[in-house]
Amino acid sequence: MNLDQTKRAVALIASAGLMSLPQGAAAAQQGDGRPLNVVAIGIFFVFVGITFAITWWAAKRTKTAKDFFSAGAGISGLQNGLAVAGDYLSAATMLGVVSLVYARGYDGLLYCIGFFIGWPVILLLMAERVRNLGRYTYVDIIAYRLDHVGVRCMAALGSLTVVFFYLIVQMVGAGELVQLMFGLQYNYAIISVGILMIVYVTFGGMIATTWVQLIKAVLIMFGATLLMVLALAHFNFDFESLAQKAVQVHAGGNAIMGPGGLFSDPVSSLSLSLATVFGLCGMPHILMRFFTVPNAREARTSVLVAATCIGYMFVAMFVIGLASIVIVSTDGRFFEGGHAGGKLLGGSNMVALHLATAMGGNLFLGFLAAVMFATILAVVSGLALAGASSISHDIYVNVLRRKTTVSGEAEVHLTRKVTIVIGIVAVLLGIVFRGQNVAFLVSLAFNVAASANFPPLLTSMYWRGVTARGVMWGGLAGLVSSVGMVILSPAVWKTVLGHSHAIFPYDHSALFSMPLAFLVIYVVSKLDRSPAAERAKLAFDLQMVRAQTGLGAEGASQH
Amino acid sequence: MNNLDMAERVSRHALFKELVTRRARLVRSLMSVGLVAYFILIALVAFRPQILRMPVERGGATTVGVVMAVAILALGWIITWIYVRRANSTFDRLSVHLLEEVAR
Repeated sequence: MNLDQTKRAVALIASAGLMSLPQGAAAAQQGDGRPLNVVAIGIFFVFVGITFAITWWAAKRTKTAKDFFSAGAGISGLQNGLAVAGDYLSAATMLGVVSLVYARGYDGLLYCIGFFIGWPVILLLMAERVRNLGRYTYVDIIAYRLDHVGVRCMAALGSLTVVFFYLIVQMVGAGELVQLMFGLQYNYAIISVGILMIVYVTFGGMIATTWVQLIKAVLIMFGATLLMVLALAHFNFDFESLAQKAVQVHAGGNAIMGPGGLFSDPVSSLSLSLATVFGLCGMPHILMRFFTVPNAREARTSVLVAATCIGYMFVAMFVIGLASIVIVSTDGRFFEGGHAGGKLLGGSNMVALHLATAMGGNLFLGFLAAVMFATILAVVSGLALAGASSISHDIYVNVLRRKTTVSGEAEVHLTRKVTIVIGIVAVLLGIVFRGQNVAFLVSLAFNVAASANFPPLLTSMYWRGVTARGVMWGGLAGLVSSVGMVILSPAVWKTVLGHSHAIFPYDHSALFSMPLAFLVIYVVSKLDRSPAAERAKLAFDLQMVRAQTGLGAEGASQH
Repeated sequence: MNNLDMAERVSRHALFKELVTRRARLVRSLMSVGLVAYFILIALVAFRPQILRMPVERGGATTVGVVMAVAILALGWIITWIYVRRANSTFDRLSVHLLEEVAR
């Protein structure tokens, strides 16, 4: 797409966005008879106002490429930890986990543990080294010793695959959620998300993205805490009495407090575990956040803060889900036709929002709805920045223009343009995938991250004998096998594509595709007798010094 | 002395070897504690779910499974905290000392 076309497309979307409010609102009022939530819109505009002010301030401070990509490495561990939590806890996670607990009880809690246990692992294996070796994207770390066009391309491809799969999920979720909560039409909701994301990232770069994520993390934790405390007050702050009531009300009875059928197959749950734990260690937008702190010490603090927030949020979501069983499932107001036990108003993901209405009326519902919209923006911005840096820094600067030097200014300029394109593509994908079951894309993103991104990254940091060819073919094997297996899995082959039998029996591929990637890296590296392979081995000692001590690592820029 | 010379001298220094070994030892033990605990839970879910369904108190609704799940979340947090503490004190001190020694 050339620049003129880009400009025209932006103008088109901007005008559509401006028209969206009155039309969308009218449609919603006629559509399902639900009134516009004025509180939600009010709070949301306050959030947008504040984040625009921050973006304006961030834009003034964004002078160099380093400011743009990594906030000048000047974010503190505490701030970054909150931003990491904000990046990781998406609206889909919060709403999805609460409704999973509401429907299946204990299985929802088990699901959370897999998504939590990756945090100690990312601290022990990755955080410090990633900080000491990295610069703008995690591909820089792999390329530290293995600077090879094929390696950069493969790693960027893995990174972009994860970013786009995740982005589609977020966009579709955003459209549906905003449509429900704000009474805005699906397409306009998605266009608004796209425009806001483009504004944050193009003008404010990593500094604005960080603050949007940080504020949102504080808001979502405040909202969840308030919801939990108000709900627990109904049970005299006694967990056992809450559990007793939940067991009485739920059709499953006592069984909901123990494992149900969701994780009964050991192979399948092992594969899911590997995907969530090691997939986290290969998520480009999460890894990128480690470059925003000045040193390894602050990187560690980031993980501690993030793990505290995320662990706390998962426990809170479990309590909220159980309380919803007692409070929401017995209240006719929240069901179609007013009959408790029928179809939940707005669909199964609305449990947490209904509980908010039950606890604090329209005011609390409005607040939580606004926080959810803010959450979507924060996550989408982080993804867009990671995707845009991958295209401009990894592919354009280090592959296409590797023979010449590209100034930092030109790199930032390009990244801004790429962000606009990513925003437009995200909006289009959101519209294309409307109404589709996109839940499998989350699993695809985690499986690809664990199979295509994590093995190259880990071996390049830990194994002396790894070579560029090994990493390239291993990463590619992980990428192709994980995408292939997930497509042939029951979740896609049967549920989405409608075939009668799945070819691959498990929904998650990591148990097979991750070891395959490591195996290919090992074998190809062992067979590689090229001079480049020798050089990579020799460079290991120096890389190790930098990884362990931070000697020669990128410092914080001076402002 | 430029960074490259310095890095070469660091890599040959005895303190550097000590730093690397001690960090690796701590990482290995914390990793195994965390992952073993987690995979025990996964194994129980798959093979002995009835253990997790037992109530903590007779007639109560809170089960062994809930307590174990929350305990594993807590354990994950404690592992994170222990590593951060040890790295901030021991490893950082060792690393600063090492760089001073080499720079001299």
